[in-house]
Amino acid sequence: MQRTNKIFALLLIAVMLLTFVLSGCESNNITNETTVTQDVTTVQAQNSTETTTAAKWNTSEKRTIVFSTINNYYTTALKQIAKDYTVLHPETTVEIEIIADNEAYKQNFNTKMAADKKTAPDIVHVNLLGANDAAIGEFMSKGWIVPMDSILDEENPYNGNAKVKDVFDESWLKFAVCSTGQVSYLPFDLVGVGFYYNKDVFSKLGLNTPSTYEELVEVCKKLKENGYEAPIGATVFADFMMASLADWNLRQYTDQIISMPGDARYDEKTMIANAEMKYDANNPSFDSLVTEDPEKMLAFTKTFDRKSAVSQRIWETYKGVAQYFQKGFTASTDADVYSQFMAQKYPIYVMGSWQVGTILGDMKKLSDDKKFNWGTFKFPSLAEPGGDFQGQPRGILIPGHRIGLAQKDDPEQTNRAADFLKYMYSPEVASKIYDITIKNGEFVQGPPLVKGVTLSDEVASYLDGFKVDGNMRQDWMNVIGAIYNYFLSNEQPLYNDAKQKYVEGKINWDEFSTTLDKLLQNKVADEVKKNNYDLDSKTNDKK
Amino acid sequence: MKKKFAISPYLFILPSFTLIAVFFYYPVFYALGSSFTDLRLGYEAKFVGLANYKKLLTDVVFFKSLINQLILTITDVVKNLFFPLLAAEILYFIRNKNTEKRMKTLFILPMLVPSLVIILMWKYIYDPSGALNSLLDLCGLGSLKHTWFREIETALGAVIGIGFPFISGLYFLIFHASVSAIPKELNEAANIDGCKSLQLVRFVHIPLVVPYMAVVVILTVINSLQNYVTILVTTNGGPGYATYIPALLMFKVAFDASDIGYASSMGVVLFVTIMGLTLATMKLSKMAKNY
Repeated sequence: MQRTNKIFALLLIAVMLLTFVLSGCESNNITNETTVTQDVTTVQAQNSTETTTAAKWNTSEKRTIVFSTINNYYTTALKQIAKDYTVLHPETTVEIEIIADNEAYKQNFNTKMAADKKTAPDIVHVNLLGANDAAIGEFMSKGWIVPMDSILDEENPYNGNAKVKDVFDESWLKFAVCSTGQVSYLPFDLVGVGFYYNKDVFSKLGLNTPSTYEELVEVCKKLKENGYEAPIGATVFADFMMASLADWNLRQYTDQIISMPGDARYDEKTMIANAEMKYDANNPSFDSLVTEDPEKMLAFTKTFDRKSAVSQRIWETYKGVAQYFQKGFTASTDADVYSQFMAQKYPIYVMGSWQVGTILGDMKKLSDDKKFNWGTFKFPSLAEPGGDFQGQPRGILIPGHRIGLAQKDDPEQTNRAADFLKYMYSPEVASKIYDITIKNGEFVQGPPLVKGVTLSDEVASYLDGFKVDGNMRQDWMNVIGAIYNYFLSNEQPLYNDAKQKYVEGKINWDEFSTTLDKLLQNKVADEVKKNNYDLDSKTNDKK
Repeated sequence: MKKKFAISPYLFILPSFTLIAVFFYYPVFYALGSSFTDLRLGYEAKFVGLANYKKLLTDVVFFKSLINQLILTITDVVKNLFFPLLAAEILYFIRNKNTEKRMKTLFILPMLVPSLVIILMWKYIYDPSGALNSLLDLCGLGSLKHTWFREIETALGAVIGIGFPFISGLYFLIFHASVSAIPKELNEAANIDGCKSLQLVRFVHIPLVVPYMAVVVILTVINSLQNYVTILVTTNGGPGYATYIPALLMFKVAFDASDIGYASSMGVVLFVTIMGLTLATMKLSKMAKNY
């Protein structure tokens, strides 16, 4: 009996050890049939156009590439084109990995890249990894994101061998240049932020869409008098309203936050526009081609007077509107606010352009008595700007879905992933993505950026409120406050708390601006330490 | 006579210990080591001594999260001691055995519902146009309506209210088993002495149930300190930092800001706190038992 027990226990240990060994093994679906890499020719017919592609991988080896996305990001369409791609390339399976939300997405990528990179996704939404150029530049410096510069110059076999970059307008590609001066992603569509409003409520109360903040406050007053407890449903995107004001005032200092000749990070090849840039209050695109320098931006933030009259005016304008937001707006989720807008409880709603497709889809599902007419309007101006508010405020309509490649230590895997991107960024396949998405009632983020792809008139008309004359530099907002979750994780709640209390009148401007300054100084100090900066752009700081 | 050494028990237990070592002890020691570094995902770690712990001492959000945790843990203990024990006692006094069985089943059935479903249900109840506000409207108490999870004044209270009437299946089962295990002779003797129901509960049942209470307290404290899912799903720590707890803050600092070193120091403090509270509860329970 004892002997049997010993054998059983030994067997158990053997099974466990085997499990450990197997779990540590390669997890990519590699079939080691042959290790010889050869150039093959895949001939495919698409709309009677024969395309030839020379594969940079071993076609006799089966592999899976992972495209990591989150819910509702063209997911149905992506699954379909992934299948179509595998028909063309049976040796490559494209897995569309859907992650629940943005936070989980970042965690998934960060932890896997910090480990052995092997299990990390191959294709990622760069826009979900970091909110600004500096954050993406950090990924690039760490060697976690593939620079797309050389890929853009390659031929796209799925687009008649035109260069990959040919499907983009050059000005949009400029947005993809991160703080290291490299192109970090391929833009797929545009995204904007603005106001949605209930047209039926507005016409019933005889209200017009506001063009100034003063008018917006008047509209909110009337809505409140008519029983709307919260005239505006605000999400975190309401911060863009303030960012627009910050940009309007601070953009005159652009020359102080971009790389210039003589700076350590200045690269004449990619940053010539910086040296040529001239501020013009009446030209909203004066800085569209320049590259921001993260160290200079931090230096500017450090020395900026948070208690200045400009800062106070921006925050007071925001407060004037924000007192009509729903209670506890800093903690509201997008879903909470959206449901209240659809239930006609909030007549105005601040959100991104991606919600257009969702509203269109959901409106069809509502019974006739619950449906309503709706529209969009853009961020307003000030009735009497004066001072340093020259020209007109800018809005935001920037590349939304930003698709990049994870830098893994396996060129073959990267080559396969890059090929799938070429396929995805061909006009025919990109059109297919839009068609399937709209047909399925999923959201379309905004106007497409791949040339040759157009939206239906109905969808395009709802995006009118997001059209802008020039794009704001949203990082200006991080000088007077914060956009998204800019602060240190343990300090972001302090900002949200102070902002909420300031809007509710529980703390005054002096207390609020002191808190703001302290948080921003801490953030600057953390970035300086993390990147080993000395806040002198002339020196090349090494980690 | 020398005892023969039997290897089999050790071999049987080895796999479990291996797993515990890999998935529990290793992370604990790794976190302890990391807490003395500035480890961030993707960067090389540098030794920073006690810097992370010093930072913790001045971290306003961490301090507030500790206070929130204290409030939540105390209310959790009260909820898990009082309501399940009350239910178990009520059941004890039901004479009809069939009714008792049916009621017991009804108390236990909610255990089968995944906790996330319950949390989401409470999200609906607290929604601005949800059940609670509708009920207040119906009762003519519209002025008491709130955006429960989103207002600084009500958010923590709303979190505490989740799960009302707090008759958790597991704790109810523990108390029901303990009350049922009290020898009938003791109850009969108390009855003969003229004990009324409340006196029977106070002077006979409760003293005998104390060891079980200690178990419930330990389980509740551990669960309360470790569980951040309820807050993550309902308020995400907000509004501001009104509902932050250390475990949630640690999670965000580690995986949102990738500041593993600082998060590890929070983890170590949390670990020591749980350990200390568990030992204190055990000691108190022993004292109560001896008394």
